[in-house]
Amino acid sequence: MKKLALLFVLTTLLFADNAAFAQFTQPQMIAEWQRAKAYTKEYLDAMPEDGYSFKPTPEIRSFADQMLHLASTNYFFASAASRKSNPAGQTALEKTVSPTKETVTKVVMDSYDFMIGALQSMAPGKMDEMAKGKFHGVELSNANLFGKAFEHQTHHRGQTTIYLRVKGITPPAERLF
Amino acid sequence: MKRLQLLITLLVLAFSGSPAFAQFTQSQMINEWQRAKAYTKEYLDAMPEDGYSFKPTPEIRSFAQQMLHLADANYLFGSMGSGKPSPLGHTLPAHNMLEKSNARTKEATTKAVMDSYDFVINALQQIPPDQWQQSIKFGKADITRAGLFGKGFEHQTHHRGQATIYLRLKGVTPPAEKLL
Repeated sequence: MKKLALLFVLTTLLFADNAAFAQFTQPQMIAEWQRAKAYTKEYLDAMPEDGYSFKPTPEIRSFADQMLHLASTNYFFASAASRKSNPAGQTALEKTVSPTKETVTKVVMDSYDFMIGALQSMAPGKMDEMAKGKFHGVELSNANLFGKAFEHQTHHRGQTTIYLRVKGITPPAERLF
Repeated sequence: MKRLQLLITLLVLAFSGSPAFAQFTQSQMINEWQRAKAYTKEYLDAMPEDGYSFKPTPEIRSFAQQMLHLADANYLFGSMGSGKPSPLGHTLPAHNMLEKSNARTKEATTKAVMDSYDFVINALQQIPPDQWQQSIKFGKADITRAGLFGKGFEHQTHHRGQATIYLRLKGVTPPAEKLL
């Protein structure tokens, strides 16, 4: 039995440490989201108050609306993946939050905190379980949902780079690490 | 010994069948990059020829340069992540050859960008599973091969995202967001 126990420990260590095929492990994902939060904060800081209502063309989202959309989607994905109820509710934050620099910054930062808290709360075995329901007809694991959410905030933050440029502001340097 | 063998088999199945904590598995990442390629192609198609030289402000990259920068970075991350050399010679100190030298027409830009995605997808497919979590250096940063592909994915998302507003300023409705 001693040999069995030793083998068990060794095999477990080998595979658990190796996290075969993971793009990012759970602790790495938490670190990625903490970086994403700090990077988005630099954008929120860089835009002056009067730029929060700015739209490069009249038919699209303002800077504030882009950031609030990003926040709503952070809440949506984090809540779907973790099964924590969504404190932002069903209504888009773009429709309910005052688009001032101070308020938008707080709401966006809170959405990242909710995301990071959701990730930290996931029992390791839950990450690879399938999420409830389908997303545009596609089934995804809870871990996949965190990945899609990450892409979503990168895409919208990326768009706001040009809002800053058109307002005459040099955007924060790209922060991949 | 039979009990030992059974135990080994069970443990291997338990851990290898369920890649613990994976955001995306290797095969899912290949799908993600194939989707990213198709999504970026929609952007390349949406911009008319005369928009390829368009810059929202004079000091920044044109649409073509954004896309060629994205392609350069795809080669860089794909080659450093996989250990497979870039056919165009991309290295960390020198990786902007497409942005500098490639023709900036719609046709030439589209081809260069699509080729860069094919390189990444091919590189991903060739990484042996046991090297996937190997730690490598990216400049001063320590990162796994898999993690570097994640950084590459973020990079192309960021620059494609910027190109959305180039399209809007040219009066073109951008492709719908394609997360799935």
